[in-house]
Amino acid sequence: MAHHLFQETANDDYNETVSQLLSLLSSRPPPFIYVHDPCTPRVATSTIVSGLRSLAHKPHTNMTFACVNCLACFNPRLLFDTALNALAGWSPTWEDGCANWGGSLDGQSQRFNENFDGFTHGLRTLWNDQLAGRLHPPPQASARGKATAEARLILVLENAEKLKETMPDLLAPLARLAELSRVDITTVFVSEVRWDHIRPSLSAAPDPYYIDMSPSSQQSIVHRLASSYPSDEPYDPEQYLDNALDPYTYHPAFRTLYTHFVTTVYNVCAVFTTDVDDLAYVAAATWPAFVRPVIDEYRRVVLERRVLERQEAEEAGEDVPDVLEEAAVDKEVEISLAPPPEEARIRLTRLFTPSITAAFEVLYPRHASVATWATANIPPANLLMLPPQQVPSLISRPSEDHSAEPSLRQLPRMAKFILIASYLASTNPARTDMRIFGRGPDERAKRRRKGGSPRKTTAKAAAVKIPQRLLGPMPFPLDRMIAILGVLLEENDADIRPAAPEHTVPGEYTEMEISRVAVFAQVAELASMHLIHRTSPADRLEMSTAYKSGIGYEAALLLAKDIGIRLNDLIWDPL
Amino acid sequence: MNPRHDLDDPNKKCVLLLADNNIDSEDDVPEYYEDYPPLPPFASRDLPDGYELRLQEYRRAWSRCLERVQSLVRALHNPVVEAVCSDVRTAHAAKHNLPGLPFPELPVVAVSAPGGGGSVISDVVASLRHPEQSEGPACIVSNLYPAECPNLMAAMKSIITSFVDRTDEHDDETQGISYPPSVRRKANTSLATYDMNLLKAWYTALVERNEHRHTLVLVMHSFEQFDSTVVEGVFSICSQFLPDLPLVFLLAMSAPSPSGFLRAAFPRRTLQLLRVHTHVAPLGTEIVENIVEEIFFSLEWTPNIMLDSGILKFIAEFSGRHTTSLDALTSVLQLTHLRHVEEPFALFMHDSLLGCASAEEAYEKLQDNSAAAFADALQERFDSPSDDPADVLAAVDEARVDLAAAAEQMRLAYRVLRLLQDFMSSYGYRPSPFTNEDGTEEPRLSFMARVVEGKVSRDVQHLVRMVSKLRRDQLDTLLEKLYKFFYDLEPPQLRHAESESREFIVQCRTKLPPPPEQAKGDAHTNGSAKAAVAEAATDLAEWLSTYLSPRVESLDDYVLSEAWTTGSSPFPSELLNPAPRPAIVHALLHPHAVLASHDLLFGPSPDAEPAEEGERPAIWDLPDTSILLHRYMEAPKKVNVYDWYESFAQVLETQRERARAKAKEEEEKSKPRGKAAKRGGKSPAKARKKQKQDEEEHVEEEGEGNAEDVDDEEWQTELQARFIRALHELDYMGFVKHAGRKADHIVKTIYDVYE
Repeated sequence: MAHHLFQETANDDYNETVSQLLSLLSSRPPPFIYVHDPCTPRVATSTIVSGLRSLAHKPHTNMTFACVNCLACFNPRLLFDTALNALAGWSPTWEDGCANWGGSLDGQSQRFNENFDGFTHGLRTLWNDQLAGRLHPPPQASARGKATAEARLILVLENAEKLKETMPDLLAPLARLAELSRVDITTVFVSEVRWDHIRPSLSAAPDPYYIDMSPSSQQSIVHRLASSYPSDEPYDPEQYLDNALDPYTYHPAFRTLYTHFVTTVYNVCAVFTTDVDDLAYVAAATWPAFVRPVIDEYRRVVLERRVLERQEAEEAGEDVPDVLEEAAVDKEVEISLAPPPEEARIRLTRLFTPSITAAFEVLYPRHASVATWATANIPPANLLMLPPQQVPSLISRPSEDHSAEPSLRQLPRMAKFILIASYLASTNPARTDMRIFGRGPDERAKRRRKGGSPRKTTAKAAAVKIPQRLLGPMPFPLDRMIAILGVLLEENDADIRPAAPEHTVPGEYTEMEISRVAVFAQVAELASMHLIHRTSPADRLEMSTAYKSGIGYEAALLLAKDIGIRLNDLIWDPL
Repeated sequence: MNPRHDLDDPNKKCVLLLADNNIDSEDDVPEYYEDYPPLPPFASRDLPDGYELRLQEYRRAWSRCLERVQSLVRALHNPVVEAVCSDVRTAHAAKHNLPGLPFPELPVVAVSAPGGGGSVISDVVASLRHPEQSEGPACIVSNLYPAECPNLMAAMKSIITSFVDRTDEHDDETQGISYPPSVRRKANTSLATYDMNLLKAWYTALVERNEHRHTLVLVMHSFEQFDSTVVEGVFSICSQFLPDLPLVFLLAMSAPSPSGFLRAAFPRRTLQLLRVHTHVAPLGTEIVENIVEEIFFSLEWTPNIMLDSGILKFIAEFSGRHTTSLDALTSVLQLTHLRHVEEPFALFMHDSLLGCASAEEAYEKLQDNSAAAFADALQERFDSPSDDPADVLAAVDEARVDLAAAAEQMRLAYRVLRLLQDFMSSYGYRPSPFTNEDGTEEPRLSFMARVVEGKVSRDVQHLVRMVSKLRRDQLDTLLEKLYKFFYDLEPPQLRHAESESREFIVQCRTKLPPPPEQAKGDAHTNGSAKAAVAEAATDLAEWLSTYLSPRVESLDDYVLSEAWTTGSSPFPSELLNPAPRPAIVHALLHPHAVLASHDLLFGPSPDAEPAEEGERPAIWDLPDTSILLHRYMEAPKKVNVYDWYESFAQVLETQRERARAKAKEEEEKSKPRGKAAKRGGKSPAKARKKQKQDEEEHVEEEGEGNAEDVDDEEWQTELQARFIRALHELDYMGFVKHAGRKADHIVKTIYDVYE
């Protein structure tokens, strides 16, 4: 029955399931349905909602629905307000004090958001109103049809797994909503986790009608991506000028090319992800560059023809109009636009496949945004005219800071020492400190071991032990880190710092340096930058604070090199 | 009101406990309050009101300097501020919304200003609220602080109310925006204050009233302090209301890499919702160098005082080692100004009026008896035998002019040297003989320090030698640069004064042979061209040498230079970067030394005991807490409290015996005197000690006779009381960690201390 809703999309398992759900909802639905979509819950919800919208507009149905996002409704009152307002088609306005929908029976607004009981009352009022046709009628619905059909409410809860965190007490009542409110209401949970994971204990909630969405097929994903191609009729080239794009980037003539293009994007990225959103993101960023050479080519052809015509006209001694006028050229270009021939398409695909991979690498972790990538990667003019050997690299990464390296190197000298000391404190076991950092009174500059590790013989026996470096940082008390900092400073900094004749005992100067305010301020500063993490609670003042290193081995090595520390000599488990 | 009553009052969140609560009248002020001197040092050759007058001079000089710092910092931050503002304004422009995006992205502009550069954000906010005409309508800006957002509900509530509670009455913020009038909302039956739909309803009303979609900007101050789960929730909720509500998040951060921080703190699921623009305010030693250079080595702006090499070296060291924050630099400069006015002659910083309205009054003031020491000291600085105040003050004026001129010439020479250095680096030559082995250049601050010390003759020689070897094209470029430098000099009088230099440069350029491509000649003309280039280069080198050498002399040799330069003593870094912990330990271990140095610093007090040089007081002579800490230092890692008490009691026993012997001796020597006659020690510790001694005497007197047992018992009680009090004092200062399992032991928190 609802199949025609999805004529546009390819007919695969995914849409089959959704249309089954819609048929169910339009006939005699069970009171509680659980839709589980582990891959694309957002798409599932939007598909269901758009289906419901068209269902609700059909004649002879008296169905109202509401879709509530449990991420946004983090508290029962919000959930009740949002659900009731949406079901009643009520939008609060500022002028009337943002009042919620309050039923229309006695003209007196009632409170339905106090607790679940109030909510069920609200639902009953709403249902009665709907039966009596007193609700805001949907625009095209025929009033006669409404009155005869039986009223039905549908409540779709998106991201239902959030309920378990925010309102666990509401899970069971919402599952039993029809029973508790005694109205014809169906609750649909849409979630990426299974019902078993959020099900209240002791069978408090009834078993739902399970609907499992299978992952979309390639065909359906490509189709969905292709359907996002703008379909303006008539085409208005002006609207894309703001984006610094070519005005014909989204011309309807390129629709088939776009379909081929998204297939390429899918083929390139499917190894990493098949999430429609991510693919759409990459496609949006790379399409302007992909289609640009084609438009350039059309423009070149038009210009050449015009120049030729002018030459001919001049030779014939005719009056020559200004054939290169921009508006006229644009007009002609627009008329001439058509899908490019097969071989040009193949050549484009071959040219741009590496740049799609590069775009994915940058855009998937959001190193750059779509618009930045799109404007940074406009290909050189007349790309299609160039011989294949002369095609330049089509990838230019936007100059955002991809690595924290330069910013780490800008840190003050003491901050670098502190970061290395914290890295060592987080990686070396505390019991080894004496062996690694302990120095007798005379061997101030002597290192315990130089170069290779003496424990190499035991390496085989300890092979099962995973190095701390790979296990993540251990927390350490501040005092320990400061003590390690003292050793590092004494051995690597003592010769550089300004002379202080008042300190006579060896080591006294360092001892003073590590207890200075600036060192502790630096620790706090680094903690605020999350380069070291505070692990002890902030409100406990009486104990020594504990921290964890926030930098990795590579960063520590880089910093150590900067200030001349041989890091591998100081790590208990060197590489 | 008695603080004890305050403590009982549940409504009081904060109670001020005075150290001595019973100071009612001036007579009761304990004597040790007088330890803080009314006058700083140099009092011997100061005017009676010199201190206050110099503070006024300081205020004048410092406010001028601060203004300069701020304007420089603002100029430095301006590009970032403009970029941020433009990003915020265009955050919802069509250019970001490419067709085909799965959902609209939430614009987030992250601004990182490490080192406490809060001025960047305040400049941004000001510019967003009060835009220039060309920049379009104002944005509606709200601030959000970490303390307001302990959880998601509180965060949403503060976000929403910060917008919807606006009224037109806040004139400074409205900026032509007419806000919807506040309406009475029913608490129960209307939208909750943490419901985004409320903001949506408000925004709809706002758009209807103003017929413009103003951008809603939310500034999240100290973004790193926010709970990341709360922020995740806020982002995901706000992104759902996106096309309806044009929200922009402005994150004020201090992390050096904003995008790195965001990626570390938030999962990809949240990052997916955002479109992040990042900006970093300029930072680093280079910025510090630029600012110092623009203040003290600028030709357009004349500083009131000239820094000496000690302070420049300290700035170089501190900014390289600890922090490059501009706040720290400002503090250093302020402290420098403050310290400079300790010098009595700093009174002449701006003029020679001695704080009077006219010169005549100043003459009278200088002749006054109270100013005799000052006048004598001043006169000694000049060779002139005249003691006419008019002559003396005229000489001061002359000295000021001389020094200002010399300082200006030094700045000019510095600029020329820098020009030459930059020129040499641009050709890949070593700009300075002091370049490090690894190719890194000497920090500019160190170079500045050497310039003010007058120790740049090697630099000058090096550069001159390099110049004399330049090729024809290089020489031409250098001459052009030098000419441009002298031609663009500000202020005009300086440009005028340097006309000779320009003439020389023009002459030098005319001497140069035409470029080789124009010269069509044989070997002979080529040879003569080479000779001409070499001659011109030598001429220029000689001229530079004679031009620079006299200008880079130290200013310290000028008469009365201490009035306008900061002297060469090192910067008091303890004020900026103290080490509190060792200071406390040291003070507790050597209380007498600390008191002695205190006396030394703040003038001799009449009845201070002479400090015994090099002689350590016996342990029984110390206050109780010190005795206890001494014994603590001798113990191993854990201290048995009973042993500790025993050793403490032993010392006190000695102390008591000594006191008895002393009392007896005195009794024999002279007639008995009043108990409190010797009262009046200078410090609380001493006063307490003396009081104790008195009490002991008291105890003794009472105990003397036949009641030995009672006396002993009382003495034991006193010992315990004093031990417990000292122990708690140490505990309070963090020297005692309680051992969990061994109840009779405590764990030490400090170990080896250098004495």
